[in-house]
Amino acid sequence: MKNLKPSILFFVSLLTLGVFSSSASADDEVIKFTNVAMKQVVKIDAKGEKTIEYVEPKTAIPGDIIRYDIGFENISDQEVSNIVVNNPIPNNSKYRDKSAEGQDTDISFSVDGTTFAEPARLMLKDNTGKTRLATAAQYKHIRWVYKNPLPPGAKSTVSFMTEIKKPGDD
Amino acid sequence: MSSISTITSYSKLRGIGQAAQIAVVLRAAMPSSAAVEKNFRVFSIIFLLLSILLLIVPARVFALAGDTISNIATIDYVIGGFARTQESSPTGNIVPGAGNGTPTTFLEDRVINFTVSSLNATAVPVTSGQANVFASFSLSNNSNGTLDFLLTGLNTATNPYGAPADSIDPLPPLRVFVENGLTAGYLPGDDTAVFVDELAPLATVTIYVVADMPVAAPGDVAAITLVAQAASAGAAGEGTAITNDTNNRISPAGTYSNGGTSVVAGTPVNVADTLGEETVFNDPAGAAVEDVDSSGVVQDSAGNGQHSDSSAFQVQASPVTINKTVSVIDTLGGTDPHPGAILRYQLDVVISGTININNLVITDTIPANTTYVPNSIVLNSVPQTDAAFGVDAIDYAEFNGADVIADLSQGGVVAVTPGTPNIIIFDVTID
Repeated sequence: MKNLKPSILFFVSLLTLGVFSSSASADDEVIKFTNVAMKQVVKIDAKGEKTIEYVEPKTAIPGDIIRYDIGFENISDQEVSNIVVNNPIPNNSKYRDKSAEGQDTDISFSVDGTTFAEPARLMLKDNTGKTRLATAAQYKHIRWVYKNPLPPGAKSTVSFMTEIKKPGDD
Repeated sequence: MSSISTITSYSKLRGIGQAAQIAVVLRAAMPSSAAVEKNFRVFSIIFLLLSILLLIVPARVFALAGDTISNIATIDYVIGGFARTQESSPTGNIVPGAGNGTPTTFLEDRVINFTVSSLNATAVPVTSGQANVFASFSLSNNSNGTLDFLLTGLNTATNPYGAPADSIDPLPPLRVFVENGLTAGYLPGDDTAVFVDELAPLATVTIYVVADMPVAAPGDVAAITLVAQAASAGAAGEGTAITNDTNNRISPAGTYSNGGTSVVAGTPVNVADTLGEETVFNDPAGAAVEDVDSSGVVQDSAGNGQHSDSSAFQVQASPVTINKTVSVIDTLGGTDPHPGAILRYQLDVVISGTININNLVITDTIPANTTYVPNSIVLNSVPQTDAAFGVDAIDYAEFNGADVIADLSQGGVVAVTPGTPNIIIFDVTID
């Protein structure tokens, strides 16, 4: 009987979620919020010069590099403030070091989804219990805190890159 | 037959993320409501329980072919004094609510990538006419899915170890068997699988190319190549060869499974890339010119669903040498070989090289005009009886009336090792 409890709670939480979600989306749309995945393709021309292109990830195999562009545009007639964008690292992917970008943002990372810090201060307990600096591949969440208010009609973009995990990657 | 799996833990993660976000929003919007505070506490407990549930979900180490890779972002902001949270969609969400929470999703394609490599650093030493000699290879699956592999051993013309050049062919047919994991080294009747079944990503298996050698001179070299062809997995038994990907790349024709399976060359297929799952040949080329494809004449090229490596057998000179010496033991105490004097023969049996010798029996016929001294055989300092092996199980030497015989393998049980000589001593008297 004890085992039933978590599943009941799970259902209850799902129901509650539904209620809150529907009430939240009943308001007018304020932000046009997009998320686009593009695959990095490195082309070398006849002169040996490299060009980097980003295409739809139609062919995606382990080791491929994917860039995610997250756009937000104020489509309301009021100023929007205190903008924070959160993005968990997608499944089967690892974050590429120093790839997160975003104009006028403070970028922080998390290994647990709770504690966010800049890379130089993000610690992780290893399997021996020792506290160590987390590596980029261990990041699980990225957070961009947009430092300015966003007036009506304005838009901005933040981005980050991942590598599709290969067999043998942690 | 490729398996398609979808990550389910993602949606749970998302659900939790959303719950946390909304709870925060409620607190910010209505800080004085005690009911909301209580609600929040309940939520916190549920959140905790969900977190514990999540820990039970086994973590996927890496993506497999056909896996969905999904991304979704959330944005928190304040408008008109009210905090709000919204989820991203891949296309934008201009229409209120539409597209909210739709993840950016694509499927991981199936990449076929594997390597065959010889485990023999030098040519495998064999003897002239030796049966069931084997060269060892490893096959590693570097693909993002489980695969079967069809196998063929080919007689090739280039010694991968350099000199001397390939000079003989093994007796046809070459056989290929997969190590069953119990005892290392090829064991007839034990290692019987002729194809690799269900090799998981990152897994490695050992494969033997087994040959019978012709009668050949010491130093002769027989080069061989193992070719592996990717095949579909998903069920026990031999899978169907995957002879094309969706980018116009094909495998050549070949005969596999010790002649049991014929595969025709693939037909080029060029499917426009989609966000769905495709097959991509990504196997490397054979490292050297002697690493041929299943056609046996063309160097194994990259992206053909095959990989190969070469090895060779080299015939060794007989590793057994016998040094025979004689000393005279004069009945008068001197060394004069007069009638009645004793001739003491010593046979030092030496094995060179590194291979153990089986079934090694030494026979020496006593000279004319001499008479064997009964019970004079000494093998490695241990006196032996003259009785035949079958009659006298105590030792492994005998005198049969004409010959002194020593069975160094003790009835085929003991492998005779290189190094320390085995010494056989016996006496005869001069008639």
